[in-house]
Amino acid sequence: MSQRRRKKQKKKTSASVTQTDHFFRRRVAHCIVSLLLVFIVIAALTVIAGPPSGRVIDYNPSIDEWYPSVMEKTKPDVVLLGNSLIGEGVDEQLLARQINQRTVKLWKGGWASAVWYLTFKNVVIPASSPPKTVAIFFRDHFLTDPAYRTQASYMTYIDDLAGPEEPMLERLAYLNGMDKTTYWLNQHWGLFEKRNDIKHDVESTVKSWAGSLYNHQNAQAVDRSIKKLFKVNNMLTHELANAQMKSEMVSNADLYDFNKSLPLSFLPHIVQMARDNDIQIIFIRMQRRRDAEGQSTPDGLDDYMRELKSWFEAQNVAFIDFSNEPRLKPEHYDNGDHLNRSEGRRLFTTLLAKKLQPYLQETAHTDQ
Amino acid sequence: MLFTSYPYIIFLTTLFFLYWLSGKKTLQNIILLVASYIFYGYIHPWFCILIAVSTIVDYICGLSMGRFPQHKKALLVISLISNLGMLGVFKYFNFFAANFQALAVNLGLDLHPITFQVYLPVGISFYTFQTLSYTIDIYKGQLEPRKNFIDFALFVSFFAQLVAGPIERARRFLPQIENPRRWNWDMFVSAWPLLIRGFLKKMVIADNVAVFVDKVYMLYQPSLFLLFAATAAFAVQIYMDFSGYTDIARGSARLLGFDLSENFKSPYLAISPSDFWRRWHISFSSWIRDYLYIPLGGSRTQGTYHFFSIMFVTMGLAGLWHGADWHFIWWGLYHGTLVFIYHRLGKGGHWQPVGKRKTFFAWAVMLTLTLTGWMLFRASSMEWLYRAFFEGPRFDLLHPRGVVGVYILMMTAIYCIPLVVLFLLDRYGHKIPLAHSIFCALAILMIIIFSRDNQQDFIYFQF
Repeated sequence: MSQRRRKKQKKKTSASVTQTDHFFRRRVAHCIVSLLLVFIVIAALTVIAGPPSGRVIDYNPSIDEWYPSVMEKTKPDVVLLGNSLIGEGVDEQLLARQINQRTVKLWKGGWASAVWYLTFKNVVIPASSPPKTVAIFFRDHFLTDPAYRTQASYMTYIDDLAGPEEPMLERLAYLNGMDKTTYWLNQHWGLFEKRNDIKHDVESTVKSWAGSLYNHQNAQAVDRSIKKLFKVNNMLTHELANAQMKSEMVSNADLYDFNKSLPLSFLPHIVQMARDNDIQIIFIRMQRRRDAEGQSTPDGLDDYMRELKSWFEAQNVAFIDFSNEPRLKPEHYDNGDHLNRSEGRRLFTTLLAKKLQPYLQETAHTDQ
Repeated sequence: MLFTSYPYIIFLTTLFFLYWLSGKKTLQNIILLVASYIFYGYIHPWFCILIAVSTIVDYICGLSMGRFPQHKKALLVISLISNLGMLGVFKYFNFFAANFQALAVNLGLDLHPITFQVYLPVGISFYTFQTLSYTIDIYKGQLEPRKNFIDFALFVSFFAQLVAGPIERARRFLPQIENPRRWNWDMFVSAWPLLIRGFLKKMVIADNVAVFVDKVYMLYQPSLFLLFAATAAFAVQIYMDFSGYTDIARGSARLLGFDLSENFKSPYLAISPSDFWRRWHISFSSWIRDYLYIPLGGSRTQGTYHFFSIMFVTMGLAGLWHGADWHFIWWGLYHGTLVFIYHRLGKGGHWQPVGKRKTFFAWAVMLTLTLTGWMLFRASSMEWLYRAFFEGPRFDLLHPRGVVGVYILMMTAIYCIPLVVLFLLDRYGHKIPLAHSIFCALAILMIIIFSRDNQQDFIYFQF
């Protein structure tokens, strides 16, 4: 009886072992098949995608004729380079009258140091009558953050201002900021390199589907609607400023380490180009809403600014700092860090003219 | 350290080999403990001091409760004050200071706000709740105090669930740490689908959908339709973000032989508020139920007023746990009110409507209520929500700008396709043996193509 029971027990145990074995084998088989499928699918798509171009970035270099034509038409004495901060905050004509010099603003919302470098190199210097002075307007650490705003939709700015060969741009704005794995994958794997194109194609297709519901709008029309809806003026001031600060923090971990950032940035190259072409360069630090409201600055920024200032002094480069300008008050701001068009713009332009005057007189003397 | 970063892959791979090659349980636990502190202090090493303090206090309190049972209550109070005190200082100090100052100004007093400039230590709410469960369980006599400090410290700081849960109970997780773990092929093999799902949910779905959500919720005044579209997208984003984190946490833990709890069970299929909380962030809702709702008398009370006040306190605190802001508190209170109303209508607990039509109706109602709740949760302020609801453009679906809302809904739907496939696979996948393999292959491909270049934090990190 007990023997029979033991036999039964044995049978039961061996049955459960077989079941576990079977289950385990199925799992392993599942794993192997998954790996095989991953390999097959990825290999097939890699073949379809073709070999990688070998370039660090995939941009379409063709300088937008609008910029050189503005330079030719206006033949400015002073060029202001910046982004929406000067777009909103500087009245070009008022400034020209106050400093008595032909002045032109070159800017688009979102321009940062990579685009300033390209504009200086490819538009300002090659102009038939280059300006005597170029002023670059920046916030906080932007001058030494070369990768900031060089990806995704900001690529169009690069497309508009890059020449056919831009090794400095590739190295500073993309290669240095790219982690080694992403760089290696980009260089050696066509499918990985084309991932942004695939994403863009999917988005365009969906945009055209959505547009077809609205009087057959195409993807471009939907794009325009999106841009119009999310333009800066429609956004919440503080949320936008917070998002801005967050994206700045994400873009570079050592952002406030001046000595580490400087050799990896466009700043020394911009200064050198200005020297080589006998153009006076002035760097102007803009006040942010945060400064006007008396909020504290991020940890490390004050040290960074001290080092930047001493570097400018050592290089004999002009630097104007508006960050502690007491006459610019919170009520002079519209949204985010943008000054309002009514009061803030006029006030800032006047303050700017006063601060620029001594430097412009210097160039006038040199000319004589 | 972010789960979705390259350093984490290197970290996990190195840890995996070191851990299994070390063989002995004690050595394994020491390796895990050191690794967990490296993981936690990777960006801000001082975070480790806080978790170490919390660990030491609760270890001593737990041990002392066993040795001096007559002082159990005092020791529990010490544990509660130290843990909740740290949480209060680092997470809620500025919130309460600002509100106190606003109140003083309203009363005509001129007070200057005292603010505390400090980063919120990631995951502090999660590990505080986890260690509290340990001391409370010992106090109740449901758990024996642990003598092995390494084991206890690992229970508090185990990297996989440290910063965003699941909040493991000491009764469930400590035995896993204390018992020897032997290499188990089954655990190893079952970890991969979880990891792939997690990365897919976070990197492909949540991160891409977040782009639209952030933009709409940053508008000064969106139309109602746009708000609806963005909220639907946010519902997908927060679920994918959080459940993606849980999947990666569970997958990583399985590679090391641990089994972490499930945190989500298709929450958007809930048919009532109680059902929703049985499916959403389960480890948190069950903690709230066991350590707050039941001790306050929620499961025993018959009185309407008493029951409502218990729900009010419990869910208000649950909302506050998510963040030091009024809109989180309103979100908690909103859910508390829903649970209360459903209970009073006789549709609380495990209520199940009869028939498919009624079930569908109950689901549709609950989904609408959940989405409304997410608006409270995501809005930057109540004032913003009021403006969007009552002052902004109404239902502008037919207006040309409505195309943006339609586009957002379409993109969200496209990104949800893998989610739907995943759901169907979980239900019916066993009938098609190859289905899971095909899904894993496609998921990896999607992760390669659709992940965004900039790493995005997990939403629940901020809590």
